[in-house]
Amino acid sequence: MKIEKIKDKLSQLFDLSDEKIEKEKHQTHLLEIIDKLKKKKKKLKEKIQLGAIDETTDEYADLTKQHKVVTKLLKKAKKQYASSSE
Amino acid sequence: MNLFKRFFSPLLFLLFAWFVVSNQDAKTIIAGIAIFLIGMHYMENGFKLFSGGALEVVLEKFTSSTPKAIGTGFLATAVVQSSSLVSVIVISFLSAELIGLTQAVGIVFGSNIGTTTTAWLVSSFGLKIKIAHYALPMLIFGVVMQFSRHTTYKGLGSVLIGLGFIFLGIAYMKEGFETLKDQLDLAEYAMDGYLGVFLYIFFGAVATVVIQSSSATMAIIITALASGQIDYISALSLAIGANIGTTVTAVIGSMASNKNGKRLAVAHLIFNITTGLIAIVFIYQLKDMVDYLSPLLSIRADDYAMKLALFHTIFNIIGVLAVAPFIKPLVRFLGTLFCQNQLGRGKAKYLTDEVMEIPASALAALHKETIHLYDKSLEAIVHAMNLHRSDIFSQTQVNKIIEQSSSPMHVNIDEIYQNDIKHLYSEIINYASTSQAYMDSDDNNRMYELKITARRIIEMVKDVRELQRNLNYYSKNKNHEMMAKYNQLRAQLITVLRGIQDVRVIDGADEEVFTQIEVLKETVSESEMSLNHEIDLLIRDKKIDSIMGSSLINDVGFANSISTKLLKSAVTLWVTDNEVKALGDDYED
Repeated sequence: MKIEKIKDKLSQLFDLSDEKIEKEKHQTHLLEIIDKLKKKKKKLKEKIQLGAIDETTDEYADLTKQHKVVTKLLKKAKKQYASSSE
Repeated sequence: MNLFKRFFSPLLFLLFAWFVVSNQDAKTIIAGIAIFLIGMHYMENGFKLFSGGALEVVLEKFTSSTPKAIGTGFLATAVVQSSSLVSVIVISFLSAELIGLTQAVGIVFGSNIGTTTTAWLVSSFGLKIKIAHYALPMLIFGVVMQFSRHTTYKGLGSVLIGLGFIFLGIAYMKEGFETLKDQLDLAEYAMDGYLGVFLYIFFGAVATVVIQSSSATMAIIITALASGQIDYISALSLAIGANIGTTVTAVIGSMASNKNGKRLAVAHLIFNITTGLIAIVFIYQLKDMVDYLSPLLSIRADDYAMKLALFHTIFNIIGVLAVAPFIKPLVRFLGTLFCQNQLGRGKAKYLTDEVMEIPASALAALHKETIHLYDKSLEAIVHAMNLHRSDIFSQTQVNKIIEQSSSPMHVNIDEIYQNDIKHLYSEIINYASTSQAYMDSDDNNRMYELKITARRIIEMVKDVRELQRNLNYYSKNKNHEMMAKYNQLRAQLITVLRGIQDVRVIDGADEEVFTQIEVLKETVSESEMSLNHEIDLLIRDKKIDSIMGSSLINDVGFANSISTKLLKSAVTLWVTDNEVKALGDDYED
């Protein structure tokens, strides 16, 4: 038991992993994902609103579905970013 | 053989023990060799942990041309001081098809030059500085770092321990040879001319085969040379012998390896024999070359240890220069070897035992093998649904494919499962469970994910077996409504499979891949809801009876389960970013 305790203490002393750096890395990465999703959402919205695609076609249905999915993913990514900042 | 093992092995061991105990100087030298070998072992294991996959990335990315591959092989071996570690990674990459045979041969050639840096290390630091003084602090800090929970620091600790032991081993060898000199002068037994050269080449080769490390043999040769126990030309011959001996070790090691390992061992053998022959024929000319180059490199005329290191490097470089222009024909020749053992139907393609202890390589191999299992199972699923792979991945409209493939294919899924899939699955599970022992928690999580995916793929095959029974039964039934609904299920499967096939070719955009998979998930969910609603209507309108209805509802469940498992497997296999993966909802199996 004593050896275990000593090992733990030594581990704490020499463990140089920085939680703060890890957290920042994680947040930066989430921001990158959010940015990419935002761009994708904007593109899809433009395509849908242009009116060039017939609303009864499969292509239109597919675009709308993609837009819905991207919106959902974006919302979740923002939520994750917010909770990681707390 | 058994008789030899039973009687001669203990006898040899006892003789060796008597020799060690009764001879004080030999004891010091042999202890030095033992400590040196422990150091090599620690260094190798440390680099496996410490590099955290960096070594694998370097070996994979910087090998696009033969000179680059040779350079990468040289640098990697010079840094990690282990050609066997580099060889093991190269074999695993070759098996996982991450690199081709040409690049692999290039790396092995470069690695041969890289391994000569050990001689430089021993002849410079090892002999000129009192390295034993540095060895002890290295061991102390190495052990302290072992207490860290962080894999990188643990690895660094092992590298330090390894270096400490290597330095300590060299110091012991040096001390042993120096004391031995007072009682026995081996240099007196040196023979002149080619007879002596051949004899010492033989000794060098045998020593390397016994010790299983050319680096350790080189360390012995250099320390013996520095203490004057052997003369310069005998040391050169011993170095050539060590190079030949290491090939025997590699060939013995490759016997239990796969065809890639064997092919690389043959390349190594051809290289070392060619290099050895050149060195033997031109040994005196090479000696003159070393004498000419030494002053240019500020090596003193009487510094034979450094001159030996230079000789070792020069003859390996000459070997590479002589063999490298013939890499293409060599690779063509190697490609024709060991082809008789064609891949069995249910055999793993990428799992090589040699890399089980290297987490990044083991994960890469398992990832590839799970994709192999996915592709094999996909074939079974597609055929069970009376479809062809070629149709699914063509540009033909889904409705047309369904129309053209209405008759049952009568594929025996149980037989395919038993012969092709089950064995492969068990190999994956066995490999994953064994290699998990060498992994940290992050790698373990990834391995766990892959194991779950493999299980999911197996479940898909079992689900499709249930679905196939009714699909074939109702394809003969005159009820058109039933046939139409089963065709809807087949169409849904084609859509999912085509969607997954599309994401497989998207390069490096995890968000894009994940979005497409989520869209497919949405489609599957909508399709299930609408199908269930339509089935309710059919039962209500008495277009199908309750037995048909219940079969159909069950099969919609199976089809949905297959699609969901396909999509979930696709996320594990083709989305690498964990943050992106975390954006998805949890799928229900």
